Amino acid sequence: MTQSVFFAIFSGLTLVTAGIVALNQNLIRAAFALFFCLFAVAGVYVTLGGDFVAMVQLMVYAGGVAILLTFGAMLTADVSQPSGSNLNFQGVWAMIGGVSFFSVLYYVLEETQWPLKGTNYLDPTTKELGKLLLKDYLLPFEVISFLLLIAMVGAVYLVLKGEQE
Amino acid sequence: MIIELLTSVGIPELAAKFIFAGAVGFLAINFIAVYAGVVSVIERKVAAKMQSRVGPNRVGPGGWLQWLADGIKLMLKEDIHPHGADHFLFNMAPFLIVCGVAGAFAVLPWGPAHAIAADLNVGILYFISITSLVVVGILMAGWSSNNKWALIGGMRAAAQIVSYEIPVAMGLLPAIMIVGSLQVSALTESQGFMPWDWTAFDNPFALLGFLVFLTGSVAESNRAPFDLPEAESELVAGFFTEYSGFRFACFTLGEFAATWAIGAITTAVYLGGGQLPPSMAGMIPLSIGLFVLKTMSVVFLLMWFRWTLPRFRIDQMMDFSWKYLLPLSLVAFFGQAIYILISWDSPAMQTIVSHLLALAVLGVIFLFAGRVAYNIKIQLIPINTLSTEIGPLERAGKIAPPPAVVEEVETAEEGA
Repeated sequence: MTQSVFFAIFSGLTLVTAGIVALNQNLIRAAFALFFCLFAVAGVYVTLGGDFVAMVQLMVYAGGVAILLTFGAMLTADVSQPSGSNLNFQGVWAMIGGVSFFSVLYYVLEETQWPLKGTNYLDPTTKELGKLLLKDYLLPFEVISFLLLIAMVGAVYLVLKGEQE
Repeated sequence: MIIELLTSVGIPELAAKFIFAGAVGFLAINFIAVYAGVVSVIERKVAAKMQSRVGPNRVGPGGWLQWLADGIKLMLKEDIHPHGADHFLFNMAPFLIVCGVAGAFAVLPWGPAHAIAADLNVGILYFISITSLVVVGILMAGWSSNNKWALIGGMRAAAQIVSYEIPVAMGLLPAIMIVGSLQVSALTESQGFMPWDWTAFDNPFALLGFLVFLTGSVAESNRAPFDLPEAESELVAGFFTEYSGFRFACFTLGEFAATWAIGAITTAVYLGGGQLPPSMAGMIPLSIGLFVLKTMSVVFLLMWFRWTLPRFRIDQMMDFSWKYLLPLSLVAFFGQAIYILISWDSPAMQTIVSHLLALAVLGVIFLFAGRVAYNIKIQLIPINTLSTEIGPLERAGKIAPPPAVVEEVETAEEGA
């Protein structure tokens, strides 16, 4: 019962803030709304029993990505009065893109066997996650971490190259 | 327990949970407000001692009620909105900062290992990630004030907190690896009363992790020597330049409450929490007292940093995070992993290493204290011993007024 109430609160907050991100004319306000959207998604994860995922969502997306995005938006000139509106509809193409994306989502929603809500929904998930990452999915885990390392080294190289010129 | 009591009376379970959560939240917020007030006076007293001044001494006995006067003054002041500011965001920013700091109090222990408002099994991750609310509050305050000093302060603060979040999280990893849990109560429970049973002195890498965590935490709470976002000489007051009245008080409140949060989490994770020796197990008031003592010692350490170290320059601050603290935290992380591998089967080695390390650290502390005592003793003018005020007894002529400073110097020179 408590879960359902908080699930409703957090999913409502996600929808409202996502709407602000899409429709607000003021870029900074949209960026801050994005932070709250990601924050509320973490709340949705908590109510569904994914404690570790929720905290990582909070740390990486809300604490990292959204803040860096806000940071970047602040450096943009005339951020509060953009010259173009974000409410122009692209007509046919937007229609096609939206409908096809939504139908993919709907297909996944219909086809997946969703696990039903267990009784002990607040069991720790960290132990299971650790076992899966370091036993069953060790190779993909290592490959992804190596990819991230390459991305980081590449970023440092690009910055150094830019500084030398 | 309290929830069960409420449901037995006939209150529905959902309402009982909300009542319980509301009561805990109410207590935590009030603790934050009173603590922030009292510690602001303590900090000013400590600063005064360190700079050979008197400090606040007018309101109440010895100036100890200064925080009430400050609070009342701030509440009665006009709430000013600058022209051209984004009012909605401007009003929201202090609220978010208090939310972020108060949110951290949900996972802080209060003495015994299990006395935590919400003992999450990812508690320590929650503690690290809830600070993102503070960053957003600071960015919001900086941008919405329509003031360039505020904007620069906000940008600096966000860059600083995002940078130092990494060493702070990495600095906690050795403790997490030793215990094998992210739960704050489990991290506390694995330690003992004696210093060599503390996680900080488990091995040299844990000690390194502890130091990195403490240093990073100072930077993350925007306190000196990392107080660039509010550097008075450069940026007026940084991101809260335009705030007045109680909204300004919220920023200060958040800053002082963060000192308790840092002290409590350091104590719980690294310094043995409120763990008592086995013979005294179950004595809750004693455990709370020990915990508060350790926490206040860490808070005093933060004040000591603030009033004795000069402020960093912005590039030095960034270098310090990325070029020194981050590699050091990586060293602590890898070293800890290797140490666990080596000492897995030999409890004797673990015991010897932890005892030697604890004794070495205590030795360094005593050496330092002895040196300070010696330095104070050989001073010609004793520091902070000159009474600067004439008390009521002296005014009434009951006792002789303190000798003038000049005489004191002469007698000291004669004595030397």
